[in-house]
Amino acid sequence: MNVDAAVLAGVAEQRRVGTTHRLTGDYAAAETTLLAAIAAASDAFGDGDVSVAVLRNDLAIAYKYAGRLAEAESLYWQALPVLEDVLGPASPWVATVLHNLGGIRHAQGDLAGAEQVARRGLEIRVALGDHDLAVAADRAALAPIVDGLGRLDEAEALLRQALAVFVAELGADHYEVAVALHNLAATAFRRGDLDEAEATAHRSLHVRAAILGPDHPELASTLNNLAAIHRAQGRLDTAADELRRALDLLTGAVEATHPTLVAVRDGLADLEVRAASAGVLVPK
Amino acid sequence: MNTNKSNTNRKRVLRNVAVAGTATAAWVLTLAATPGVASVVAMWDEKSNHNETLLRPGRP
Repeated sequence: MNVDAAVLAGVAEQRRVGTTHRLTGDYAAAETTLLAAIAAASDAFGDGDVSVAVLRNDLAIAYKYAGRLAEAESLYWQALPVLEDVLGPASPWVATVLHNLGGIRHAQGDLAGAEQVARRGLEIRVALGDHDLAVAADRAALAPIVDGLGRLDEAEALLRQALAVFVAELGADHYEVAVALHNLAATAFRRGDLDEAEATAHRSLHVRAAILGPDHPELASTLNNLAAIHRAQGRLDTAADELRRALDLLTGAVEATHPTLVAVRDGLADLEVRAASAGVLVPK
Repeated sequence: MNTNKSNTNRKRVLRNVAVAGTATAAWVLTLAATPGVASVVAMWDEKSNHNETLLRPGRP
């Protein structure tokens, strides 16, 4: 193995380890590992190398999960021109980074901006005739954006299209299925169908917990939404339990400004106000 | 190391490798030693494709 191959092998292993840390919810370890990989690749191949751009994309994802949205966005904007230059402006990798930028803007609440980049990514991928799963992933990610823009029917259609592909290609117990169900439950809630929302959110939580384990910070978003559903059903104790569990999962794992943590804290504050006005104690 | 050459080599492989397409799909690592390509690594395209709607108090 020559030096080039040795460096790449080392970087690839760091990439695998860093991504594994991110998937297990250890975002600090993911950052340390991926920063080391970026330094190694940059030293060996230069800052404008495609490997550095790919690793910046990975680190940006870890930052997104940790709630470090501005840092994530900055990394995507550094990676994008390199990938456009090296692989072409209509390549799958460019579509991927646009997809991810849409996710950052969604998390930042910039829904119009999110739709713009997410659609551009989806259009590139459709035009390329990319794999059904890749297109489904783009549609699934676009759905919460158009949901947030108030286009509920469009969001549901995108989610159902994506879900059919995920179930057919990956099986009913896959992580992608769990996330699509989470978002479908939210659309059911918005339509006022609380029973369907609850059943779908429970299914999402069950699938995700089976994959990630019961203590993973990513369970918090569905717990937050289940709490909203139960609050709407008048089950305030259940909602409080779910929000406190979500708070436990997120505390120490993500930034204080993480959107899910903010939503959980807002939910708990709202419950406490409601309980106080009703003369009921919210379980601590 | 010539970055342009490095990128050209990897560009060829990246275009020829069916990348995983979803964040949780199996990651792909390919180290190859082929004529004209000293060493390459094909990296799967990692997406944070899990945008999630967060329901907030007071919303429908």
